[in-house]
Amino acid sequence: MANAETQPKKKTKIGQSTSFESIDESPNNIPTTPENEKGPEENQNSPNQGFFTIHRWWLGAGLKTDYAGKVQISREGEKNSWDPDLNIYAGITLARFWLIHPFIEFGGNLPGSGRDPNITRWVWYATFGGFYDFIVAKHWSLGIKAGTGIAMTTVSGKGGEETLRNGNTTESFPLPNGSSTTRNVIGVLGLSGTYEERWRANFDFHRFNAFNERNAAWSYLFAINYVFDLDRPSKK
Amino acid sequence: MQLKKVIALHAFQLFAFVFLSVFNSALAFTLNNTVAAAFSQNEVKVNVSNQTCQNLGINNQQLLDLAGEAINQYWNRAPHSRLRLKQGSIVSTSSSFYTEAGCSNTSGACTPNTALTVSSDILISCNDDSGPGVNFGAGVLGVSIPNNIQGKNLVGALILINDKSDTTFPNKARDEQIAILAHEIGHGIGLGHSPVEDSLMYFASIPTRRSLGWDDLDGLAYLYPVQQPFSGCGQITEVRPQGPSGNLWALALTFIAGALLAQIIRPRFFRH
Repeated sequence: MANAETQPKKKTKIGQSTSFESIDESPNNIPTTPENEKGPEENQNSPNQGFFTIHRWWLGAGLKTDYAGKVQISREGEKNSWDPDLNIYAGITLARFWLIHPFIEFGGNLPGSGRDPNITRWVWYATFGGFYDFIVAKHWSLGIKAGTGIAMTTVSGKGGEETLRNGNTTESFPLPNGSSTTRNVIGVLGLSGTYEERWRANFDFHRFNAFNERNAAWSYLFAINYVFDLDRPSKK
Repeated sequence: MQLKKVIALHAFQLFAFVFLSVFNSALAFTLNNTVAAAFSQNEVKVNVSNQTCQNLGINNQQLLDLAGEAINQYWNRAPHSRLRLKQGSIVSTSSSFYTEAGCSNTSGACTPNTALTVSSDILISCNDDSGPGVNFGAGVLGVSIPNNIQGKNLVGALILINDKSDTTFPNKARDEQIAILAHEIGHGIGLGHSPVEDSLMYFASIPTRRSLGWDDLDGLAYLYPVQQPFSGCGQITEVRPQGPSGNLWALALTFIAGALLAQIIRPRFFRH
């Protein structure tokens, strides 16, 4: 019976920041436990080695600019190249499939009520795709991801009226009563840098209406994540 | 190690709290009717009446072209709206559209003039206020009345452009004329005014208007939410590059997401 510890070493060194070439999923490098002592061949049939094993998960927060460059944000005609809202999200990567880790992410801007307290707007999204990273320096790895997903915007109001200028007088205009949610298919591209497998900074793009030039739009997100491992032995 | 994790989590919470406190933006829009009426179809035409515009400095075809630019520069650019406005044609109407008021009353909420009911889509007409009623006070460039509402469905809307001899419309730059028409079309699709200057639906015309503001986009999201990938994709009439259709994306998305989720929620796949 082959023991995992007796297999040829992978190139990752102890103490080195790991990438997907690292010890994480390789049966050769999984620490000896009663289960994996069965050996690599048996481990291949273990449900723990399946494609859908959760590899890591993370929580993140950052700044997201929606529809960058498409929205007028001042009287002078300035557009929203940088007009961020706080964005919070969570995600997981699954066990490596060939060279990539499938990922799933959920996130959203905080529901806000600002210029008019009668209106609340909430942007949120769910995405999935492939994530690949590699070591670029000691303690650092660089990652790229691509995928697709759904972005939603929920706009809601409590009803009532608002008195506003109308021509030379004022008039009461009805406010929205209830909520409405839009749903867009989006494409996702992202770059990230991870420090010691724990702290990750990422820069993500969301592409709306990729096949329609007129109403296509980009949103982008700068964020910091804290990454948790599920399949790595804890350091002691 | 545990201490490091605790510190990291607290740092994350502090980070989130700080940004939560600093950035809390949301926006405002209103409607122009109490039932939040909207066009039920995704594609709505913007037509121009054949009543001759005498003081605008442009003819009917040029007015129609301006309307086409207005819808393509503004309303059709909204990423999350199912509504696709389309430049229509010059249509024959009675002379009442050129002379009469859009509302049959002079004070309070507008009671639409039934003589000017628009049977479908959006109709733009020049108007000189020479008939009964008054449309344009001093400085008013246009008025819009969604004058054909059935239940919550907006069936037809009327836009009257000030064609009186003292109209200031011809003095505006072309970009501002486009923005003025876009503003009135905004009323035509069911939106009211916005209290903020950066939005097209602000009550006053601003020469530096270039695109929709957040209030306009939120109004569209409320009245005309796109529902991709299962609807809202098929109504776009532009020629697209070859690529997967919305339905193909839907099938792929549904299949993969379902497979992943079905497996993930099974706890036996967790290692710990």
